[in-house]
Amino acid sequence: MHTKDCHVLTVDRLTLDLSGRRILRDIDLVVEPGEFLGLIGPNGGGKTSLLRVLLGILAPTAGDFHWSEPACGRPRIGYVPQRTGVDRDYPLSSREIVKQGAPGSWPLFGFHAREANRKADELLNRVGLSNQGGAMFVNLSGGQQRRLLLARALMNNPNVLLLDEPTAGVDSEGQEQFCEILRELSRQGITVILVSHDIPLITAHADRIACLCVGLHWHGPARALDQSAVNGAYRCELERYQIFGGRTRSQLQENL
Amino acid sequence: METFLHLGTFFKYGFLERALGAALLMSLICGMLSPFVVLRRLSFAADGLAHASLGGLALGIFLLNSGPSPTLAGYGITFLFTCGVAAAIAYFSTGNRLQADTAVGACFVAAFALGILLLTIRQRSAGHLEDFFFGSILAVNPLECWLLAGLASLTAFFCVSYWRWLGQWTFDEELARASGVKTVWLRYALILLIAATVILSTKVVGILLVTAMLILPGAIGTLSGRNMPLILLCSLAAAMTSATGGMVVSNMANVPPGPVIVLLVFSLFLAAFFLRRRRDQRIWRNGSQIVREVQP
Repeated sequence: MHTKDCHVLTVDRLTLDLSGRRILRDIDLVVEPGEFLGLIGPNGGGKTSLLRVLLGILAPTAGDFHWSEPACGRPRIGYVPQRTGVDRDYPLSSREIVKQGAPGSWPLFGFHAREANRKADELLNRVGLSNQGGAMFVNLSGGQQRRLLLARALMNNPNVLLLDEPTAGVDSEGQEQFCEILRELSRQGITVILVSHDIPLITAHADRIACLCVGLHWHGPARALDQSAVNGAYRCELERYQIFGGRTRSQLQENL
Repeated sequence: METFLHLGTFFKYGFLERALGAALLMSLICGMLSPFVVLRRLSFAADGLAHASLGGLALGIFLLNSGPSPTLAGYGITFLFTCGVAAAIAYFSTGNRLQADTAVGACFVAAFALGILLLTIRQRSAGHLEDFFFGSILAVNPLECWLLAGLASLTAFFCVSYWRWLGQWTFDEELARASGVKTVWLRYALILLIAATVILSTKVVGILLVTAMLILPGAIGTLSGRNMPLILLCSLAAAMTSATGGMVVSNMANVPPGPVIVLLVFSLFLAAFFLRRRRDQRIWRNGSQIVREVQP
């Protein structure tokens, strides 16, 4: 178990270049155990790339990051990807997809198989899908699919949850339900790092917010997030693509 | 009864026994690999490798100046050539310049054309082109049976050792990588196993028909089961039933076994498809009934 003086995650001047383009620049970030961190920023701002670096899928160009401090032990990480990457026609039942989240490579037999089934049912119940265990992935609604992926991520008993826009395309009631589950997990000591474009939703539930647009524009408590910090992060997208709607840069800055 | 009598004749003659053994081993390998080929959407890649293997077989015959039946060295050359084609496909499709299916299409036609050209130059083998295309199972030799047995053991070991990794990989590659699954290793291992399977299945069903055995059993499995063990069992059952049935029917009707095996597995695929369609319609009707009852 983590103690309060252990950082779960320390990101130190992390820079990432992909195909000759700077995706992330000098990111410094510290995440505490049990914290609910919201990552916001414009499209192409590097939010998903930061998650992919943290998961070890991409290697940083410069800088470094480390999970926990050696004395605290390496955390188990659960990941909920953007739904667009998942095969919607996957023929397995919801329960089987949740069971896939258990660690290891060998088949489960006997007691271990029964235990995995019991845990999968418990997690499906926890995310409000208790009657959908036999349903196929394709037959679930968008919101149910996201909750199923969350249950799958929880199968590994994670200390840290990374979620990439899990509420995109989900109705407001579904978004609230999802964030309530995350809030509850955070209260139980699981560190949550949530990427979202829904600023009102994320500020209502997260403890801290980080505005990312290549660099880290602002980070602090969710209640301290103001319009200028959001504008600052989203303005860099306009500058990067040189979309000023016929106005000069100074006019745009005045309006912001 | 007559069918069982015909099955009995397989054990009277060594060549028939070997043919049945080779067909069963091939179906065992294809039945194990097929669900992963289907779920990872590697059907076209498998088809491409099957066609490309003709280039390797022809190169082996050309370089070793051997007869139409490949030797161990010939199989080695074919395997290296097919792996080379797989590596070329991976090279061309890396880096967003070319879609993977375009790279497969480009490479397999080139390898296939090379095979036809080399076999035509070696006149004495050119007359046996149909053996490569549709198989010549009665000419299977003990070496090929041993190679198939070795490959079946290796495939079974691979599937058992990486069973849950394979399941995670089939659902979503990025999610699997994030969970620590070595997806690159799994992809290369699966491609190498497919390459070895298509090469060693040349004698059994031929390079044009082996693709059916790598796709249809898995398709039957995914239509029938909702968990991985059941999908694998259905795939194995479909592959082995059609291999045994195909051998018996071809022996009874005196027709080539390769096409019969493929037509049998296709019949099972049609049955699985329509059974699944009926099940889905029943679920849909029940769902509509519940909605009507809830909404007055």
